[in-house]
Amino acid sequence: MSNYLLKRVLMMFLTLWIIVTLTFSLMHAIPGNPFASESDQLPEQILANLRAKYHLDEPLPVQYVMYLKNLVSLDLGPSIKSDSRSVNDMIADGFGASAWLGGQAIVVALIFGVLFGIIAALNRNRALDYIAMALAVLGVAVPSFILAPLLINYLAIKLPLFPVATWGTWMHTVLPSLALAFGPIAIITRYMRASMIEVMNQNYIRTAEAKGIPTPLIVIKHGIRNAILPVITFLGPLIASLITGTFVVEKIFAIPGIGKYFVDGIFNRDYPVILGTTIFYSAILIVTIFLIDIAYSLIDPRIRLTKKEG
Amino acid sequence: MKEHLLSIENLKVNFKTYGGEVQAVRGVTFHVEKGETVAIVGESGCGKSVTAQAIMGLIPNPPGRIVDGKVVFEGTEISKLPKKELLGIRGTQIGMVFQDPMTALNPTMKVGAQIVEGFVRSQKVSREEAKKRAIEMLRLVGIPDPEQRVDQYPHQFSGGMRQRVVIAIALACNPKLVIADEPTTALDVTIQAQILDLLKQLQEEQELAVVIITHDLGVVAEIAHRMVVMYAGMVVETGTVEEVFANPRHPYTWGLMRSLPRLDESEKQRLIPIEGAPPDLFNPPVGCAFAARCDFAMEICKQQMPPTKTFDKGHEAACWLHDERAPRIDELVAAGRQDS
Repeated sequence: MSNYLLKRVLMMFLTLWIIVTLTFSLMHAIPGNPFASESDQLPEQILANLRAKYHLDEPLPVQYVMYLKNLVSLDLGPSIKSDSRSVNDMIADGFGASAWLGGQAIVVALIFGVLFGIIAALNRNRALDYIAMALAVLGVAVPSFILAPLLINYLAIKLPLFPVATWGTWMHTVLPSLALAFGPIAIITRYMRASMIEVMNQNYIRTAEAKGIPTPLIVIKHGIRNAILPVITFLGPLIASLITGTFVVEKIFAIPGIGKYFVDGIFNRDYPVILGTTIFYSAILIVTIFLIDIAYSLIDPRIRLTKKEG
Repeated sequence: MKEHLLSIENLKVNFKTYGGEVQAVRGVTFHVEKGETVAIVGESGCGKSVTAQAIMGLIPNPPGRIVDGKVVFEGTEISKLPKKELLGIRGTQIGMVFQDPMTALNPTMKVGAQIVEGFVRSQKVSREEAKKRAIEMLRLVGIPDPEQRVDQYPHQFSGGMRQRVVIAIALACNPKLVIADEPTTALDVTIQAQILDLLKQLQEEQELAVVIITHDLGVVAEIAHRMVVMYAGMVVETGTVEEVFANPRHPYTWGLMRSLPRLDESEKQRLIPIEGAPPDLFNPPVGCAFAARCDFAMEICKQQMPPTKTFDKGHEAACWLHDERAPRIDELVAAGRQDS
């Protein structure tokens, strides 16, 4: 087991290094530079000084090595555009809000998605199933930038239950969390329905019926654990993308999360921000996938982590 | 009349499909006494398994439903019981052994927990008692090291061992009746013999009544006291195993017997198959369902259902050949030989 963990952690660092290298080279391959918008206003000497300050005048391999050196000491470097703050500061300031929203959204999505999926599966081809599936199609089809204003309009303005936007109390988190959870609820419902239908047709469910176990207990004790693996698989990337913030929902609700840095960084060619946010996202994704793999083996005893890696 | 442990009277089960309604079971009557093993024999699709599921109330509805007839267990008409009361009978009074042990166990639950699940529910026992019971059951069905095995998962068991676990599940609540639906079909031959021996031994020790469903006459001869031969959703012949094997009365049973290899045939002899296929149960024939494949079919066979005639020792067969007006069978056999 410890052997497996060691191997796994090494693989994780290797993956991260490849991502850093790819991002670094792609980033420098796209045209433009952090000072492109100022280049016709500022004298050449100032631009040269600026470039020198951020070591952009050095050859790329030198910059790459310097960046890696800083990265090893967990320093993601300064932001070029907002020079008073480092990338570390940006993530430290914004991640709390983003992760809180994302976390809430995941919990809501998981509970309701699994619940709706089970209800749909048990009432297959009946009214409840059709309702759940119609909602699921809606959930996949309606983008969050439509859903969020709708939620604000109905639950904050017409019926002033929640604040319209900004960040502060827990009440502020409800609408953005719902907006974030809607799509995932729909996807989880569909996954759960499909795998629950399959599981409920398995012979071991009939064995349980023959033991005289009532249907609700069969679903809880025999159904869910066997049916939830596809949902867990989907959960990995979902967790990573939700807790690292989403540009659209955070923008609409004026939430000080980290979602905007992902987009702004690219627009501004703010090299350290691009690299920093990418690394941060990747690291969370890699760790989540690792945790999901562990969850697999806890849920299904046939999956053993220590076996040869496939 | 003496009360049977289980009696099935004129049971009819239909299944709705897109192509219409299939009459899977078309009026089955038989009974099982306490401590007796009854085999239901017949080819695929003749309604054996559906009959078994109907006894347990396990017919999926929709698409299936019991159209007519009743299942009476210890004087209670269980086919009419509300689901809640039926749950009290399943597992505790009637246990079921399924065909495919590879899929009949929940892969994510320890075998011990699966064995005593029904027991814990009906007896409200503590955890330690439940575990003790699970170990006891594993020992009963002949699994070595039950103390360790009880905490393992099904994938750590071989096919034969899993079938033993399935049997342990069926027996965990001391039922009076066990229904075994082709319990050995999915196993290799040596394991088949072991499982049959186990069933036979348990049946004798626990004074169980067993309904065993099979298409293997070897299994019937090995384990059963009485047998019920089914064809196209109906019973064509019943009787003690000795009687039916020695004096089969229905042409379908003759066909089954002739299609078996025999050890006492000195010369190499080809097995004789029953030509043709069973009738379409969407639209079953008005007369005897076997008439179309029967070497001895007469005009009446195609027009009217044969009555059930009783012979010695409760031996019954439903065939027109046993009508007084029918020609004697040896004449027909002679005629049949001349034809071919």
